[in-house]
Amino acid sequence: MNSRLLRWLLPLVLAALFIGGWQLIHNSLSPSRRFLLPDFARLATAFREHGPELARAARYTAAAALAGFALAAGVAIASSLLLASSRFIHTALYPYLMGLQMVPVIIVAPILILWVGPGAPSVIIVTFLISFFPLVVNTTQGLLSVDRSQVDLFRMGQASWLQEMFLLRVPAALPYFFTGLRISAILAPIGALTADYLVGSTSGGRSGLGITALLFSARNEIPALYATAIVGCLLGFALVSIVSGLAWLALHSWHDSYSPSEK
Amino acid sequence: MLPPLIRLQSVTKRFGDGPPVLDRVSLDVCAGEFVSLIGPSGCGKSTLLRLLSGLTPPTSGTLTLDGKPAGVTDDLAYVFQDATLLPWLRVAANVETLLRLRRVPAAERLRRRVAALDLVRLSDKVNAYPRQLSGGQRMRVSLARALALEPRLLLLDEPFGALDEMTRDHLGEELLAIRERQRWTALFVTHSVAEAVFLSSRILILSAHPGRIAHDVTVDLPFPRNHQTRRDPAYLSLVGEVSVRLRDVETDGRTTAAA
Repeated sequence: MNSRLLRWLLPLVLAALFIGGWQLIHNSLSPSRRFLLPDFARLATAFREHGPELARAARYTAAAALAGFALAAGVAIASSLLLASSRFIHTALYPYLMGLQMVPVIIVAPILILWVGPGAPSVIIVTFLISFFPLVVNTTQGLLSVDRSQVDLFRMGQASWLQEMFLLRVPAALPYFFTGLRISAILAPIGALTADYLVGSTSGGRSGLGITALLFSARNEIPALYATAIVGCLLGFALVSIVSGLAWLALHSWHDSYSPSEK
Repeated sequence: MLPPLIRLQSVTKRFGDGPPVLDRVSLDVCAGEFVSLIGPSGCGKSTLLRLLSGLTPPTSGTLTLDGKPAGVTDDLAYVFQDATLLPWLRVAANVETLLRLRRVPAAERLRRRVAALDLVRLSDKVNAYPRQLSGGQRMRVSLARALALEPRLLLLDEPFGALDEMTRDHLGEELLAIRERQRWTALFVTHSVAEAVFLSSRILILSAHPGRIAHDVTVDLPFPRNHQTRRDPAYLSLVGEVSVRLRDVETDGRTTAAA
């Protein structure tokens, strides 16, 4: 069988197995406990019933995730450039940036609500806190991981600080940056969802998937909860796909990780 | 008589509080010479190139290039052991990198890049990325990048060390062919006696701990040289002679260290 066909077929086979297994577990449960794992017909109904509501919440969470993610990327790029430009700044600043990641979001949430109030700004701040760290760590590492002799080459070429940074260090750091971006792309939607749960606004029509899940849970609507979880997953996949696409655009022509397989 | 292009007067280099890597080395190299530096590891041959290129200052002594204190200058190009190409740039942009840093205008960059790639016979790879090239091709691009600077002095730090012997021999022959057309002076660090004799007009055998010039051997084989030279009895006897002297230097080093 050719490998192209296999690449399409394997995930499909796996999906069929997964759905079959799900259905099997559903049927093996005693009828009074089947609500724990609704069957697919029920899931489909949940999607139909709550479709508009889920779509609105998903849009809201997606926007918050994107905003927090973009903010994290922007701040991470700026701070990485700063960290990589001087050992002194690196030593002084690094522990505090690490501290940002250690902020226990659950505890900060009520404080954030007091400061900023519930709603989008708070959600974006929490998303930022959750997705910032992998970006800054990887990007800084990349900026500092330039081959020693390439730096010598630039020094001998009388390169200015700006030239060394932007013609050498920044392109060399791109693969590291995208590694961080990929991790953050997974974290950002989870972050936005959790943030919504913790500091989201409950006022009509401006809530995301977190608040929506909270409401479904309070109303004991299990199939709708499953549907919300699936939508959350899809958001994550969408963002990761976008980032993978960007990484491909930036790296595929030259980076070893995209070199054609040797046959 | 012309003053020497390179003059080292009692140059000592130590790193930190360590023992001297180079110990009171004095040396004159005239324009047009091709000088190979060979010696056991730790004899400071690479350090000598780094001093000349201005990457690191001497601990004491003076180095002059063309009468001026050695340092970062436009007259000098450096070829590293690995090709050190920038993988995200195509061959053309790689060859132009150093010219771009020096803000050479685009038209002039183009002229020099075309000429340099022509010299290393890689004009057809101008749009390739480094990962699409073989090890030997990458080294030729690296050489082209240095030649595009139109240097008076070329410092080569074991440039062919990582290549297989066939490629290494070919590149050696090409290097000499290029030198027939472009008269730069060369300092060439190598571990291969055969390569040193084949390429050089003069070989400096260095001893280690501390690094000193132990022997200064003139290679009076006529230029141009080609693959026939490798069978020339005079060439072969020189390879033998340099090998013996190198071995003596290495044995001495071990005896001294043991004493």
